[in-house]
Amino acid sequence: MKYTLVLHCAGDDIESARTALDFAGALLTKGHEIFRIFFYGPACALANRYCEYPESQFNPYASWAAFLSQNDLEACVCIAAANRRGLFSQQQSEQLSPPTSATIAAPFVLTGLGQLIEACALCDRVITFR
Amino acid sequence: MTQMDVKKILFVFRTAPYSTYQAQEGLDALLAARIFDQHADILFIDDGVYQLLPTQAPIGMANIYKQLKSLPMYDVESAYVCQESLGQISLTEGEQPLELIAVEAARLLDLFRQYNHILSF
Repeated sequence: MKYTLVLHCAGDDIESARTALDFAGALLTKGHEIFRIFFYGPACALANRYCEYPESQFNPYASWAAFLSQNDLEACVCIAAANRRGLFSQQQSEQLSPPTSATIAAPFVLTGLGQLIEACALCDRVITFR
Repeated sequence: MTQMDVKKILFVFRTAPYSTYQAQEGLDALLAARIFDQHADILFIDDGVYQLLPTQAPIGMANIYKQLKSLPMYDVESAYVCQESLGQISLTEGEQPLELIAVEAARLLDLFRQYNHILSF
């Protein structure tokens, strides 16, 4: 089946971020297709590449980024939700004063809510993690 | 965007209107669904019923009640509310931001089964 996962869990909601990641891994193992992962609301913080954790601890950003790259998955981060949480693309960051580095970069891309609705229209299952 | 099927999506609102952005972000997603011609209905449950109260005076956030009042303009067809959750608040019919269909908690599963997708906020 064709799945989309929608994440709402905050960056420090480790259990939820890990459950979603495990679920995504299990889907691929079982031969399902993941069409898209959509990061909305507080979950936009999971795509912040400057989050740092002690080495022995689960790092949601690094774990998700590695999983997305290895499996060549589309990871959409809602642009409005990200921006209101201080997260910006390279292009946006250059226009900030003073200019700064992008907080959101590949494999994550900033997109609109249309990508969430398109995923609903095209997928058999849409699973939300809060 | 590629040619899209029309899916039935139920937007479930279960959080208080202003403690987080959940309610606003749910409404934004609901309007996006209507802009892309998806069938979108709405359910209020748990603390989500507080979004229905008319006396909202948020500071620095958009008024959820006023936005709910505008939903019929976007052809959001049905608005449901969990009957037990509705019992938490005092709301007369005239104060409702839009026409609400009360559903007993025990019947919610039947409601959920009518939809392709459920997005919860």
